[in-house]
Amino acid sequence: MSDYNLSRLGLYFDKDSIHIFDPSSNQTTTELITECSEFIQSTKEFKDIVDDFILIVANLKEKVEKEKIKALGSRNALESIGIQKELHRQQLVVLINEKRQELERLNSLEQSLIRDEAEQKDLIERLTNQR
Amino acid sequence: MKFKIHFPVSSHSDFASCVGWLSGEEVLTAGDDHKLLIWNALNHEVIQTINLPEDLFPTDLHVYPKWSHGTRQKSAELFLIGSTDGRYHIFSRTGKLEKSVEAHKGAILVIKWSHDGTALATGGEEGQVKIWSKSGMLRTTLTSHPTPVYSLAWSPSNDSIIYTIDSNLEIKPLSPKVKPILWKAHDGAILKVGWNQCNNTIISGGEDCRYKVWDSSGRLLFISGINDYPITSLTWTPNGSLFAVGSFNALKLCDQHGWTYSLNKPAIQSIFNLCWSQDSTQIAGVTGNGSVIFAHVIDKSIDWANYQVSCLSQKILKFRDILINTDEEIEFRENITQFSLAHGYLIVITTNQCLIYRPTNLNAPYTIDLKDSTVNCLLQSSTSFLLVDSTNVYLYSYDGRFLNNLKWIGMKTDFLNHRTISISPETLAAIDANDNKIIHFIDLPTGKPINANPMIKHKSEVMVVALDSTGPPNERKVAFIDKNCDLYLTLVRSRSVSSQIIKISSMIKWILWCDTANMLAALGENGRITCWLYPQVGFVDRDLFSLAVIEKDWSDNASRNLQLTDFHNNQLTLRLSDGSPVQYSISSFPRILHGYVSNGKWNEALQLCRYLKSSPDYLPLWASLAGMALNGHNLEIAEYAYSAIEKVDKVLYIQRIQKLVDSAARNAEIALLCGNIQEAENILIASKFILRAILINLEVYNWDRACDLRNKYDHKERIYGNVILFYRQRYLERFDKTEDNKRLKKLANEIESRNWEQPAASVMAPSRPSVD
Repeated sequence: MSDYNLSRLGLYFDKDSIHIFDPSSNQTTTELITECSEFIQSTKEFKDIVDDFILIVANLKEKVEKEKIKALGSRNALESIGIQKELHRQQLVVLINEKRQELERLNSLEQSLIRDEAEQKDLIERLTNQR
Repeated sequence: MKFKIHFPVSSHSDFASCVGWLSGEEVLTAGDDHKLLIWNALNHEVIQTINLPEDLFPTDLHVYPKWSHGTRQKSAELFLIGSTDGRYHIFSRTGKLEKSVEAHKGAILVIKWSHDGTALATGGEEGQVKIWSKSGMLRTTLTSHPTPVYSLAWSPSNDSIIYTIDSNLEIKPLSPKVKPILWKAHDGAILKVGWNQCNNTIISGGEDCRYKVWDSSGRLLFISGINDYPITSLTWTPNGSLFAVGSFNALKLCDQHGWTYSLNKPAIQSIFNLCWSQDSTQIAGVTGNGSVIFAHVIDKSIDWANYQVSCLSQKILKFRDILINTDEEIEFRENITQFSLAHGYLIVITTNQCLIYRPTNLNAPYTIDLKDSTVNCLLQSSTSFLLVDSTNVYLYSYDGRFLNNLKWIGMKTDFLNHRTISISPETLAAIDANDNKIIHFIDLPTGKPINANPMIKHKSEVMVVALDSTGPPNERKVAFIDKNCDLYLTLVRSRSVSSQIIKISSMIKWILWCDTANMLAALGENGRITCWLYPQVGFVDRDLFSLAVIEKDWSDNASRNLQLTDFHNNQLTLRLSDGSPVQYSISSFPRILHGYVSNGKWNEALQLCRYLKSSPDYLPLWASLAGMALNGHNLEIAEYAYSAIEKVDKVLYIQRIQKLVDSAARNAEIALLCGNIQEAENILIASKFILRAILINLEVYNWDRACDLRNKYDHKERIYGNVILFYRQRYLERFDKTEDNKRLKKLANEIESRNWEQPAASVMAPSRPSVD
């Protein structure tokens, strides 16, 4: 039998195996298979890349969220610092006023004591001169 | 002085407006969260929570005011809570609701026990003030106005009530006969008013952001500057020396005269109520957001001579000697409630002990265990000190020995304070709590009223009483100011029967005796300070009284509300209206003069006065010396002194007395010179100079007394009758009168023979120097 007969039957031979497709089809099929697997492979890769990307974006989102809250917090803190400072300022003003009053009191005490001292010195002088 | 504030961790969960002290250590608060919290005041923790009914929104709370032995008196009704539904609730100590009384339409805004705990007053939103008995029976509806009664207070004597009518205050007596006093007090609604039992002063604060101090008749004593926020609370310390003011995020500590010691700005929102502990050292407050604050007073300081004591914290005192510049800290195991430094001794009262220190030895104090931890008043004299607790008045010596438990009629311990009681080494003077016109005198060694002079009754209410602390006991004098601000002086242990009360000045606000010499300083309403160098002179020679005086006018520098705080040696300490302490020294010579005279060094005293010829204090000193010499019967010195102040009449009289040989006659003449006719007569009668005694009475036209003496002593002769008639005749001729005295007419009839020669001869009797 010859190759012709076999091919009429739909059987083909190549070097080491029997095929039912003609060699050209077979070639295309094989090529298709390889292409397909390559495609799957690249799709997989793409998926991985996308997954990675999503992960990164999610991480980023978290970070952004954190930063946002931080920013909010610090903005609030900033605002409240203003109020706190104001309160603190008021307290200090109160304290200053208190100390100022105290100072005035002490000043008037000092003045009275100075006056007293002067009077006493005067007296001592008068007494010593008289003698 | 300032507050140290503590903020407890826990708080009410809603608006809180009620606070009160259950004891020295327990504080009660209530709020709109329907909870009664009992706090431990030492560690500021809640020790008990009592749930109130859900429909009870408390508005005001007042704890029963009577104390005994450190705790509130055992009473079934312990504290009152007013609520928004117009009812008030009486609670027992355990927090059990005993009774609810329907009282007002609308909310009850204020509820107060009277000071004696026998009645209570409520003020309502509909504008009525009602008085209730202790058991909750309505006694009277005192007033009715269209505006809510935000606050009210009882008067110290519980006979009237002050309450708010919008921006006005009214003092309304409980008895309808007495007229009420109404005045406009603030520019906005008044939110709080207080009336202190000790100093009888009123404070008020309102929406115009001011607080003011008034006296009991509605006269303005102090007005504060405008604060940032309305005054939501203010309250007196029980002893009346301080008051606290609460506002939005603010707590102020003020002196009784109105000026501010300190201001704190805690972030707690408005303080709606404040309450002091009984010992006046701690305060508790409740605020709009339900938080509770505790504060105690620190940095109080006392100066005496070269020592200064200040309170650093509740348990630590700092003792400073200014001369050698040393500081020493004394730490106590318990909280310090009071301390006092005078007459060279430091006395510290802690919760359960009384410690007595000498400034020279601070390591070994004498210690007394207190029977009662509430000490209302602590008074020192040079030899002993007085401790007034809630029921008793104890006298202790400085070595910690118990001397006496004093009692007198009309004694009420919560009435006793520095104004109403005064002690000297051997005498105590106290105003009667029930009848303020009476002053009682107690002999300290025996603890009994002084026999010769147990009390005096003045014509009007006595406000301030002060005993001198130096000089011999029989010259013990009491100075007192009455309701009309008149100053009087009298002898406590006078030898003569008729103890005279002399008025020495008017318009006087405050008096102080010097602690080392017999001098009296008085502060007048107009800022004038008067210092009497020798007040005894008032009983020796009244003419000298106005001479032996040093005066100083302070009206130039803001003298309104000037206060006199201390008189040590020759140093007067004053406080100006802004609280500045000011020293003012009077001349030191009067004190030296006192020292010489009390030691009998008359010649040195005379030399001192002569030496000061050019000094401005020349005249007062000589006048004092004249008084001292006359009081000490030293005629020679008196003659010099009187001639120095140019009192010629007195000099002549003294010279005449010096010629007398008989000592009794001399003493009688000296008594006469002092104006003590009674005493002179007694001396003469005791030494049988009857004629002279009669003549004295004749000279002052005391005809009846002369007749009495004649009837009593004229046994043998008719001389006395003749003398009387002779004088009477001359008197009648001189004033061109006819005889209208029945006794003398009778006497004239008895003596038929009118022999003018005989009496003329008899008046030349040796016992008297001259007739006219």
